[in-house]
Amino acid sequence: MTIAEAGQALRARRVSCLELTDQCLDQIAKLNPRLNAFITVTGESARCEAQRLDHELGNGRDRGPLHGIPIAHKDLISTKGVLTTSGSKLFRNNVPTADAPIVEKLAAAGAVLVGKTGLHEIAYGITSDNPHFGTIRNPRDPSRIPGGSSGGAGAAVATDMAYMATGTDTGGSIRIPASFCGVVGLKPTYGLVDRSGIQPLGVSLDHIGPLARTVADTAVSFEAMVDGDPRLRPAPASCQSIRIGLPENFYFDHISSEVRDAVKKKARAAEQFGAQIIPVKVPDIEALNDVGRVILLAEAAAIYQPYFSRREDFGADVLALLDQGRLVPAVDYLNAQRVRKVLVAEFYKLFADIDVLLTPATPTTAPRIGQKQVELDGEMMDTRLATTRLVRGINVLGFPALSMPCGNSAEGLPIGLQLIGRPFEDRTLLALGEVL
Amino acid sequence: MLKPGLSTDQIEAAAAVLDPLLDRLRAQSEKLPPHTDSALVYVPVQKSEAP
Repeated sequence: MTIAEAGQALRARRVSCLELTDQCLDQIAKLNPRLNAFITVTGESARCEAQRLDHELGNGRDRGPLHGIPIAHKDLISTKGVLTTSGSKLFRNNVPTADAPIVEKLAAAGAVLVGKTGLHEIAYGITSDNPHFGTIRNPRDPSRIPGGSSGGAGAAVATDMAYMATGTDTGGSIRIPASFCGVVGLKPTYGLVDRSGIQPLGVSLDHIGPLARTVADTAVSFEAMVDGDPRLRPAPASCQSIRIGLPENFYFDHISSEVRDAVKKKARAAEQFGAQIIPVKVPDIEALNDVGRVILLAEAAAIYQPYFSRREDFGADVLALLDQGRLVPAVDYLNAQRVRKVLVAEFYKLFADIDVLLTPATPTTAPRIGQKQVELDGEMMDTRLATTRLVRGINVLGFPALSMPCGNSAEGLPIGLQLIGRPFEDRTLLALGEVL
Repeated sequence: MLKPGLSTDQIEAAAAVLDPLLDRLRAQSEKLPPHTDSALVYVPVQKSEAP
């Protein structure tokens, strides 16, 4: 059931908020022991809140599309009185005394919190194979990763444990799990969603956004998160007028043939409904990714400097990245920011001729747990660098990007495509995603 | 004051990944016009850039 369908059923009294919540809690009880999507389940408080919202609805108070809808928050988002670990041993006993603004906003919209989802340690990685809280598994094939860092969020919404889950995205951490789990994820324009009360990783790269089963569910969740921000442009009246750029370089190199075929097939489908497909040459994405890596290494090391003496409290992969970050000279960090400015300007020029850039979200389907390398066009590549190469650069730009399902591989694993838009044109991506 | 706080082995392991990355970045930054500015905390999308 989608959020809209659940809402209709609620208002027609065919189901109650409590029943929707119990259905999700039942799914969690049934599947979480195998998938490990949740670190904390807030069953008791969720049932109380759902009953209160049933009472409200019965008395004529309707908070809108998310009224009574069960959701989950990534476990680095502060929730008052509820454990918030960031997937880290450092914060394993952290119980915030206040909700993050995004939590307050979604609660005010009537969403019911069923729990906190697991993640890659401190959101610094793409496997969600967490040494402190266990391995999160892909619902389609539990021998595979769900992606990350918002791996628990992807697994939870894919399996009806929640209708929507919040995620954070510093180098693909919403879009990668969306792609690997076969759900939708939106990385909004930088700065649109309030990041207060959320454990940072890269201060100039962090974004907050929703993961959900459909584009429409993602859209309704996004609207609740941004609450009518006047900077947002309206969606176009018709998607037939949208000019879609299809990259001639980079994005279709070093990807699996199944991903390439599925995404190009979707581009042809867009052309059939009237959208204009424009072949484009994109700026230097390899340089953009390098800039993103240098900035993130330095910014993450700055955040975790107070914990450098506690080396035993970090997993090996995260510790290696923090060590690298400690050694990035300030000169290189600042020059990375200068190169960033030039590359952002080049992307604005590209978007003078197109409205949306259509690309694959990930170059492969979900790798196996523990798989260190993936083969792409006969070349072995580091799994983390390969998985982030199509998404990381967009965090450097701050432009909005949507990851959505685009068919399945021969093995039945989801394939994801990515729509990238101009700043504050998030609704254009959602409108196009709905018709694709 | 300038000690990195890491052992020689740890520095060498980090440098094996970092050096090629920084070499590529420096090749890009050498091409920058001198007036290209930066901010200590760079915000990619400023409010003033809103449509």
